[in-house]
Amino acid sequence: MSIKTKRGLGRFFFLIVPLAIFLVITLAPFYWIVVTSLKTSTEVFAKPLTYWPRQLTLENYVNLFKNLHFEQYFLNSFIVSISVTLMVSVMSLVGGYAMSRYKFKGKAFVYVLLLCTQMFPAVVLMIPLFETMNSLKLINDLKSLIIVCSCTNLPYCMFMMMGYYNAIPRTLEEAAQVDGCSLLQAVFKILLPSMKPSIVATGSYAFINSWNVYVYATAFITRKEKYTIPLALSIFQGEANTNYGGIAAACVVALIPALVLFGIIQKHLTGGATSGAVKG
Amino acid sequence: MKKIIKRERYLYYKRQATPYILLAPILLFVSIFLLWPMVNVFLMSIQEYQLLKPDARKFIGFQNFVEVFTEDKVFMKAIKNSLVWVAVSVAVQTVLGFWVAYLLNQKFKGRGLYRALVLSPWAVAGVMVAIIWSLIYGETFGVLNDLLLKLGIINRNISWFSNSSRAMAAVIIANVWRGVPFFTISYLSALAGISDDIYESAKIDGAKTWVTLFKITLPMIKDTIVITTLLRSIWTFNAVDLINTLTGGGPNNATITMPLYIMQKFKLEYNYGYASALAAIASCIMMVVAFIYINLGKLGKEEMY
Repeated sequence: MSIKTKRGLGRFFFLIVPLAIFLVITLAPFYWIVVTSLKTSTEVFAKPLTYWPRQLTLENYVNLFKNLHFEQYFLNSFIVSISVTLMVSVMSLVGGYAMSRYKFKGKAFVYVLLLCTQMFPAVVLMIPLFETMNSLKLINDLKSLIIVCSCTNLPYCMFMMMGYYNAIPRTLEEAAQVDGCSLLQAVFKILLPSMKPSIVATGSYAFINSWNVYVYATAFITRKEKYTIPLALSIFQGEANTNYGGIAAACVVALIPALVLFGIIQKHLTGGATSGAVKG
Repeated sequence: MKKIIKRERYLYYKRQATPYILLAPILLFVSIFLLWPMVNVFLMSIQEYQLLKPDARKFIGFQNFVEVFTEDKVFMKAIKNSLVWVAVSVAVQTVLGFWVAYLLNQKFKGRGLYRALVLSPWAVAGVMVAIIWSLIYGETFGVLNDLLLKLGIINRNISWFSNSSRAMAAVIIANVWRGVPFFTISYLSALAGISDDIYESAKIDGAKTWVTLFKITLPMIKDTIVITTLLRSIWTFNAVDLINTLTGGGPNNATITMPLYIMQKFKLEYNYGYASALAAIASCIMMVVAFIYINLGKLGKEEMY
C-alpha cells in the first residue's frame, strides 16, 4: 500500500466515519419527530413502523392551531422572549461597557458575584420568587417570567458583551473624542455600529433561553391562556400522550424559532461562562 | 482658578461614578430577583410553611432539616440518583464533546454547515428533548425498539421506563444527546487557541497523532476541560425539565433527582417550608462545588482587566 492510500484510509476511518456517525446520531431524532408529525393518526400506530409517511399529511399542524390554540402559547412565548431580549440587550450593552472600559473599586467582586448567580438553581429560586411574585400580584402574568428570565440571563450576556468590547480597541473611541465628539457620541456613532453582530449574538442567546424557560413557567403560570410553549408542551405530553402526531407537530413548531436563531449565532458561541465567552 | 479646580473635581467624580451608574440596573435586578431569593430560601427553610395551612406559618428552627435527614427516604434516593445522573452524563459528554471538537478542528469540506448541524441540539429545550426522545423510546411504537429488533439485538419490545436502571440510562442518553454540543463549543474555542506551529514541530520530530493528542492537545486545554466539566456538572445537577417531562421521577422514584424532588414538594404538596429546606441543602452542595470551581479556575483573573 502506498503512503498516499494509507493516509487516505486513515482519514476515512478516523475522520469521515466518526463524522458521519455523529451527524446521524444528532439528526436522527429530529428526523423522526418531523416524520412522525407528518403521519396520519392511524399511521403513527401502524405496524410495521414506517420510516417515511405513506401518506403525507398536515392534519397534525392544522389541528394544533384549530383545536389546541397553539397560537396563543406561541404568542405568549414570543412576548416573553422578545421582552427579555430587549431588556437584556440594553442592560448588558451598558453594563458590559463599564466592565470592559473602566477600572473601579469592587470590579472583581462584581465579576465573581455575577458569575456565582449563574450557579443558582432555578428550582431553588422559584420558591421564594413565587412568594415575591404573589405579593406583586404577578402570578399568571407574563411579566413575572419576563423579569425573572431577564435576571437569569443578564450576567452571562453581560460577560458576552464585555468580551466583545474587549476585542474592540479603545483607541477607536479616544480618536473620536479627540476629534471633538463627546463620549456618548463616540459610543453611539463609532462603537455601536461595530457592535452590531455582537448585539445580535447576545440577543439571540437571551431569546433562545427565554423561549425554552420551563421551571419558572411552571411556578408562576397556572392559567391555560398564559401558558408558554414549554409549559404547554409538557402538559400536552402528560394529558394526551397517545396523540403522538400532535405532540410531534407541536414540538416541531416550537423548535423552529430556536433552531433558526441558533443557526445565525452558532459561530459566535464560544466557551462556558468564563474562558471562551470572556475572550470573545 | 477656583472654577477650574471645581470643574476638574467634578469631572474626576463623574468619571469615578460612571461605571457604578452603568452597572446599577444590572446589580439592582440581580440583587432583588437572584440574590435576595437565595437568602430568603434559607429563611423559609426554618419555617413551618404550607400553602394549604397559611395560618400555621411560623419559625420552627431546624425541624425541617431534622425531618429531611432522619425520616425522608426519598431524599437519600434523590441524592444518590443525582450523583449518578451528573457523573455519568458529564463524563460521557466530556469524552464525546472532545471527540467532536477534535474532528471539527480538522479541515474538511462543508465544515461550517457540519458544525451548525452537529451542534444544533444545544438550542433544544429540555422539555422538547424529552418529547423527542419519548417518541423514540416508546414501547410499542418507538423507533428504538423497532431498530433494535431489526438488527437482531433484542427479540421482543423493551419497556424502557419500567425498569429502574434502564429508565436512568434512557434519561441520561437523552441528556447526553443535548449536552455534547455545549462541550464541543467550549473545546473548539480552546483548540483554536493552540497554534499550528506546535503541531508542525511535533510532526517534524516524528510524533504520531496519538502522541500529539495526549502530550500536546489535552495538556494545553486542561483548564478548559476542568472549568467546563465543573460548570456543566452544576447545570446538570440543577436541570429538571428533561427528567420531569420524560419520566416524572419514576418508576418508583428511580429517576428522581434533588431538584425534581424539590419541585414535587413545591408543586404537588405545596409544602414550601420543607421544599425550602431541601433547596437549602441542594444550594449548600452547590456552594461547595462552586468554591472548588472558583479556586480551580481562578476565574480567569488575568483576563479581567
